[in-house]
Amino acid sequence: MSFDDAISKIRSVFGKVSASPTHPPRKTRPRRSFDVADLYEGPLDTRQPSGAEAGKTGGPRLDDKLRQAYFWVTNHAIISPFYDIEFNDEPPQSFVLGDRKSRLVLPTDQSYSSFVLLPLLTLVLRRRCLLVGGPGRGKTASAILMAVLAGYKLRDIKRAIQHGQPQMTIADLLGNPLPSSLVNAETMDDVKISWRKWLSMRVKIIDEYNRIPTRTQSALLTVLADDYAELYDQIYECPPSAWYLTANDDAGGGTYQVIEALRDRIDVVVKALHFNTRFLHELQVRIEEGIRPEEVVPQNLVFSEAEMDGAYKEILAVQIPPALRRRIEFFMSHFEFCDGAADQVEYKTKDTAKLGGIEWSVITAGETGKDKIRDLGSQTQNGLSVRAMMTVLAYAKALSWFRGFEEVGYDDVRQIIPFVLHDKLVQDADSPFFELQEHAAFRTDRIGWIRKLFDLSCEEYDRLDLDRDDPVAALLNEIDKGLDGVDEAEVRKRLAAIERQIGEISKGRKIYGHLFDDVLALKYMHQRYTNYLKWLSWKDRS
Amino acid sequence: MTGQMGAVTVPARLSGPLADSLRRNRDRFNAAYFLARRASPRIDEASFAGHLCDNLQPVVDAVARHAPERVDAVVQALYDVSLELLCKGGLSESGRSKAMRRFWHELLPAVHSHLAHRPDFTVRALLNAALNLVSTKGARVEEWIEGFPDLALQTESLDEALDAGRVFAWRCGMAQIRRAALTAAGRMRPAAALAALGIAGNVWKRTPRVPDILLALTNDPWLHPEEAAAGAARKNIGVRAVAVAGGFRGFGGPFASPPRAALIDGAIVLYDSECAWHLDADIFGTVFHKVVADISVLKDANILRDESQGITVSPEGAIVWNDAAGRLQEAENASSMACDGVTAAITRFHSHKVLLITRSREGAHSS
Repeated sequence: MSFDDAISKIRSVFGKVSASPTHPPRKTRPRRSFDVADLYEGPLDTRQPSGAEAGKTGGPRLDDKLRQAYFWVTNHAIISPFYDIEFNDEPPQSFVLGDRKSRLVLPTDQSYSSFVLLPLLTLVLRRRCLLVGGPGRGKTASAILMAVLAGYKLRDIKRAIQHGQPQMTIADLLGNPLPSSLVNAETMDDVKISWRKWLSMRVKIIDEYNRIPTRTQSALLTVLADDYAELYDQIYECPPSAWYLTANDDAGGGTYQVIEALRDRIDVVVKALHFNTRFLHELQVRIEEGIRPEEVVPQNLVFSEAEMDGAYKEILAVQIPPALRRRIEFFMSHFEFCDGAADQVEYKTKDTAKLGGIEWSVITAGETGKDKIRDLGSQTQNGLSVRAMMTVLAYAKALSWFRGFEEVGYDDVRQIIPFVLHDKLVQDADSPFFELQEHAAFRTDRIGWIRKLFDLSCEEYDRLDLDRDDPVAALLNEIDKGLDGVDEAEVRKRLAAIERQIGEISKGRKIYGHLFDDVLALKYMHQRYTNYLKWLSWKDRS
Repeated sequence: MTGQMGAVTVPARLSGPLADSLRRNRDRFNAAYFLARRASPRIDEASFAGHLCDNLQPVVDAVARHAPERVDAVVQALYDVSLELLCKGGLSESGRSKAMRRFWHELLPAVHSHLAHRPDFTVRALLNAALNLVSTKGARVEEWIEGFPDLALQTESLDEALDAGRVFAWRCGMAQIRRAALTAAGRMRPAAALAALGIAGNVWKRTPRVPDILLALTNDPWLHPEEAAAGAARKNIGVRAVAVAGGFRGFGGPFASPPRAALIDGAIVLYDSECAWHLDADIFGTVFHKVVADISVLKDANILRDESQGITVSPEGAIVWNDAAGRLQEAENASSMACDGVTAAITRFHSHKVLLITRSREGAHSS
């Protein structure tokens, strides 16, 4: 690859090399600096708050409104002077700190605090956010703010919070049958249930969910996963909601172990960051002035139901460029493959090994020949579920939308992936990767670890030059065009190409995760062409 | 009552429903004031206190008389809006003008029912309207403040009342919202639309049809609504002067030097040696809006002929406009001309004024 090609490639993917100015200033046509599009738009914001105040005037962009909400929260409500979600539009300065040579980066583009941003994105996506951290770090306060921004009254929110405690029953959570209907009912259909009001809310808060008894967790799972509650054969359909669950422990421990199905439904994990003591004066002022920010959220920042629906639609419309999606695919492909788990190729997955009940150490002991530092899959005990993959895509879109873009960027994916996969990728702390001194911190810093995984994956992607040389992608593109009009000769030619490609893979190279998915994709294509060939033969004979 | 509200000492003259509501929700108001002060440390606390006492009390009293259960919601909206205005400097001298005082003391109390129903949106929308009128040179803001409540009474909803406000603001000189006003009139019930257009329906032997009136007004910005209601269609006979606009900056006009006219994207633009302005002009007024423009694009636009519109102006003031012709003394020594098809703007050497002409109806006059 020539130097110019390399630079072009970096520019096209990472966008970090500034384009040189090539256009001279153009003459502009007159444009109005003042345009009273409407008599009632002016210095005062007329955006409508929720509920009864809905009207027709006003309405800047919804992403702009959410950004304003973000800045209001960080400036006035939650003291979170952190910018751990970093973006740069030019190379940032960095400083090396301490014996461990940690890097402090000063971002050059607008950056955000995960503790504020991720709950906001969860609000508009209507997903499930787990806020973790020690007591008194603002987890519940953050969730309450989200509900206020969704238009609920503070009193209703506080009454609707479900507080996990060891004696919590299903009735406490969902509701009770009306005694009179229970006595008079002749069939279960006659039983009337007094459902708990929180079930109807579009923001649901579960405080200390790891203190809920296991049996009640199962009832909660139904509501959280399937948006309905069931009691005495009666069903209550819940509206799509944003969920905020809090816990002091993100490992699923607590008074009761959190059932895996419930943990798996969590879409994003947000850590409550520590309090920077340099901002103690803010707390002092709060005490002295009696400030409770959740009581003074500006009405023009409150989202109506229609606005939330509108924001959701806009987010879904954000595009993911094919080249970026390919990198995400490549990243996700590393983790599932487990050579020793089965004989049949399709079953060679970590999931098979886990379901087989084999000790993980036994499985990994059998893995030979591969470079376990280079093999990203060796760092995890599991692969990614479909649900996790979809959540990554959804949050990447939401983050891009929040930043005002119509297309997802590389940095958006890089920043959001760790928070989505925080609980989804189970780390194999015994992997040789973590034995290296520079990687030791990743045993505890899961956000940093997953981000590092993504970086390493992209480096490997570039090393393999998959942007320009990806024969499997070319074959997939070809088959995606459909088989109509493809004659026998062409089908045989394509089958031969597939077999050649499989032959290349089988030529003694180690099978890593991405190759595992490639091999199965090739088998899929081969099978489709084979079936089509048989059909062509049958058609010719008949 | 003398008490503390944040750092503001409230005079004893604050009393009644407003004082009671502030007392009931003291913590919330204090918190909101604190946050506003944090965001804008130089806010004028004395102005704010004076505004609360002088301007909010009549509004709240009006609401309390008719919907006492809504007082708290209205006070909250008024307080929040006032804080926002304070932070943006809107309670400064211009904000305390006679017109704005009338807004708080006359207009808002008169629309108490809308205020009680949708307090936050109502006060914001109407205040924006008043401020827009104040900032539009030549607009008759006090006329609007005085007339809006009567029009609102003839409507059935806040949205219709706001539409009436749009139409009336246009009639009070905001030529730039003409299109929006006519669209708004089209949404209204006929009786309310006629009232907003200033057409006394009982004068005519037949009830004027609003769609016909609006169509006529859309086609001719120099047609008065009453003329449209009477069915007075224009017959192009000659050209006539309809307005003289602009003026020297030193005497309150926009131009530092004699302007020139140009047509840009179908709109009339006037420009001098420093700036350019977009012109909105019709029967109810003329409004200049400064535009961002590269004036070097415009400096060659000293033309007195536009073949696409079929109009020519001679240095002697003779005007030929398709099938209409005339001579206007005010058009002598013309330096440039721009025509949008309905209105032509003519500038003169050595004059800071702009002559606006149109093709006339019967009774056209020419010199």
